[in-house]
Amino acid sequence: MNSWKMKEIIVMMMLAVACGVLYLGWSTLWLPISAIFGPVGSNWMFGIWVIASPLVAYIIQKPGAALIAEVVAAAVELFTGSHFGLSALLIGFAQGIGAEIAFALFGYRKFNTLTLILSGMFAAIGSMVYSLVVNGFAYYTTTTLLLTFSLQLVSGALLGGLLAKIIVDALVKTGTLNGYAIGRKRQKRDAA
Amino acid sequence: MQENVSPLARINPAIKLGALVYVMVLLIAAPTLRETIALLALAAIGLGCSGWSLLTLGKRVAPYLILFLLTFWMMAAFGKGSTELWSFGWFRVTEESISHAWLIATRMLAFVFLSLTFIATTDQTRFVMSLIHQCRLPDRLAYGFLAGIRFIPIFQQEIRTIRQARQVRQQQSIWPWQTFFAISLPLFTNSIIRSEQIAIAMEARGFRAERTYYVRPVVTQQDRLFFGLVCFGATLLRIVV
Amino acid sequence: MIRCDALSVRYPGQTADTLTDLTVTLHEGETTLLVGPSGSGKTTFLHVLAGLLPDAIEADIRGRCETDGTVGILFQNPDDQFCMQTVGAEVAFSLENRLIDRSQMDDEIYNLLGRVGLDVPLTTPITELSGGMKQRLALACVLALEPDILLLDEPTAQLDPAGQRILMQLIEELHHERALTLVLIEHQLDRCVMFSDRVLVFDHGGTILRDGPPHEIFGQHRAELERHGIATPLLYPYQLETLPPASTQAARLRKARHDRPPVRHDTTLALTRAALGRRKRTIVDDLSLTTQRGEWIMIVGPNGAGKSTLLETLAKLIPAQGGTVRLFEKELRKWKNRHYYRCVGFVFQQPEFQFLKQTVEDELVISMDVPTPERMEVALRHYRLTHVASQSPLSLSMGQKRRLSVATMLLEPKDVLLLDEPTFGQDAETTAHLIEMFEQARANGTTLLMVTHDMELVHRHADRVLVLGDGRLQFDGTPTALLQDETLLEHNQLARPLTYLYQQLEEVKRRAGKRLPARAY
Repeated sequence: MNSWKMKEIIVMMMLAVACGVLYLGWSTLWLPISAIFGPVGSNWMFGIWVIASPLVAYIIQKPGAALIAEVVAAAVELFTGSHFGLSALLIGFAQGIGAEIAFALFGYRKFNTLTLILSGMFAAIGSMVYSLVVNGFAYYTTTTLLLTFSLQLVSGALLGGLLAKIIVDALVKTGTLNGYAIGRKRQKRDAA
Repeated sequence: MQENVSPLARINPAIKLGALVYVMVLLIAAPTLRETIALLALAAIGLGCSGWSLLTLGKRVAPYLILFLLTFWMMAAFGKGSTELWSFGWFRVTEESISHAWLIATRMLAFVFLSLTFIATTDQTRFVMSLIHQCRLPDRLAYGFLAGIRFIPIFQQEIRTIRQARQVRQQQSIWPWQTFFAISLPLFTNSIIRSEQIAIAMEARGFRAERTYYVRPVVTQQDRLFFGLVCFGATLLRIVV
Repeated sequence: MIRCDALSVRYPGQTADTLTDLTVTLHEGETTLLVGPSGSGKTTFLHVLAGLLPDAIEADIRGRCETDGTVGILFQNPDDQFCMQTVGAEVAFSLENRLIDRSQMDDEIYNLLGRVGLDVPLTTPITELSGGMKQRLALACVLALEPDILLLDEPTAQLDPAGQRILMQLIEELHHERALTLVLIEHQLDRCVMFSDRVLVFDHGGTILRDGPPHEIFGQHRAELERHGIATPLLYPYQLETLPPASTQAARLRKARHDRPPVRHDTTLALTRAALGRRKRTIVDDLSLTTQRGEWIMIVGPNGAGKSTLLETLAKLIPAQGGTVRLFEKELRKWKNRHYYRCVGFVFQQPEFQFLKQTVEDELVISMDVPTPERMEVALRHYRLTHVASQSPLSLSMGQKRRLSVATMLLEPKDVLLLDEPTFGQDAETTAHLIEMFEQARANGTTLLMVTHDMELVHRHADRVLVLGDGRLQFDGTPTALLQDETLLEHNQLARPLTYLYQQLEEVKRRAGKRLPARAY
């Protein structure tokens, strides 16, 4: 933790909290959709709930960022008294670990479209493991289960990883990220 | 999370969290409805001791009954099983899926009760401070986290303003993720700028690891007793029932 | 004591120094006012003195800067200086950093809150405080460090007039503490020069143009300062009563207002016995008024009186709770959004939340019905955005963001334009430019409804002013009529603007038929 600058810690916390607040809105959108279309028809929305990890990790580019960001975003649900509460914290932990592994595999040296998409997918795997154990996903029909899982993987890749990349790249253009790893790399590349 | 004078509010937050998570783990490991209901009853007792009035409790719990039905319905209509009771379109309700649905929905409700017990009786600052003192959470992360959660209502207000501005400018997106992108960009930009200022302000006030603490939760005999009782009681329920 | 020797600062990615070869010594107990055009490095100078460079803020620093003793700094934005949830814990954060024992904290906290006149329970959530109270809390947190040197970076810039007055009072009291060295940047110059011992004038490029006592700087060098685009006090070295009628200051204050009729007597908005509020809470009740084409209406009143709620209701963002609200004789809820927002525009208080596109140019394109390259060029020039056309709207300066947000609403003519404190926190130049835009819109027949705290603007530009307070419309009439009503002003914490006071004074002198002798002091 000592290699972290104070502003990196704060920006991670603030963005993660902002993601958590956005998750809340996304949840209200999800409830009616999932009642009608079930786990298959609603899980295309899954990816947004894991966006905090790739988003923050891509900006800070340090070990631990992905895990902490997702747990903090999940904690927002607990602190606002949302319907998932403590279980949100646990699932956030499972997703965060998944997302973190993707960056760890590359020794925290590669933060590009590939690793971001991978981190979204790994977060989906983490979430699936949790759901199998806790939410009784094993009781779903095999077709439902497989469809749900593949949808979550795709959604994690696109709405998690890829959207995070698009958002951060747009943020870099505003110049606000110049003082962080992503902004410094971009400036160096532009200078070269 | 609010000021609360119930006995549960006096328990050390980290200890309380540990005990509640232990009950959650037992719930996950409970394979039948009977055990789950027994643990649900325990969680309900916890909620009863949370110091909220019956009216508040009713208001807070009511929405979760809808969630209970939803979880039940999802598992019942999409769960596996061979004895078909009813089917319509892509919904297929079987005897097995119904019994699984009861289990999962009850477990979900027990989780909700445990969460509400925690939320009702825990002050945010005290919780984070107890993570520093009882769980060795680094100071910088803890204070950073506190700085962040202060912005929950501010972010909610900002999102509202962005949505209003989109309405005034008659900008509508086809896909929900386009809306997500459009809202998140100004929200994130602003929060990055603010983060920088907050970090500077904190450092200018001499923030460092060597420090004293205004709020310093300790583990008392009462906390140990609480932890022991909850763990023992829950385990006993699990074995006996 | 503060001693800087050949101090230069350059931020990463910049091609020029922000501070250049600065050599200056500030003495113990001295109060120094920093002035200079925006971007002349005043804030950077304070950050260097606070020891924030190069660790907390990355920068390349050359030369030396030494400070004796503890340094405390108060920043501009009241919201971005806190990291705790409650008032008590926030002050305690400073004490914790100073390793104060827990047993002494409570007394210390009460003592500090008393010093800044903040009489609230320690468990009050910070979010429940007004801007002015937050800034006083921030001051208490800085004082908790027991600073020998106190740096103030435009502490009142984002407060309403009532909050400004109280904070300035506190700062003036601090100046009387003999051992405390004060360095401040502040736009309320007339107030600050009264207790400053010394003025440092910064120039573009971060050099010091002038250094001396206030009477010398603003007396002898006033013309030079104005040439460099540096704001000067309105009255100093005179007071209102002693201002020589031939001075440039007097000429500025003498600019008369004229009551103007609306451009056309043609009703735009009409409210009949309307009740306004959010969710179940009614904030303003029984509100009736009609607006005309080409009428500039300003809305004033204390915080929480329902000014923004009124705008949001008129913008069809929240429904009225009772009564009727009509535009062109048709009830708001019967309007289709698509049609309504062609007639009605809304400039939000925070411009960054109303941008939708990735570049300034695209932002303007979607604001035009028929965008052509020629129109685009004219618009960019008109709103002084040509050199930032391809940048992201979110990367602009505060003034540029505001101009762009106004442009998006005014490129196509609107029947009604709602403005929520558009000049708040803007510098004099941007404010003047905005006024020009709004006057043009008025002349074209737009009804302007603008929430503001700036009574100077009300006096000079409003055709009509509404006072909201105590849950109702307290006044609806011309600014002149409002400014004559002492009890109404006092009740709503409104102060008379300087121009009005001066003009009143001249009127009295003229009637008395004699001139009071002018004297400098």
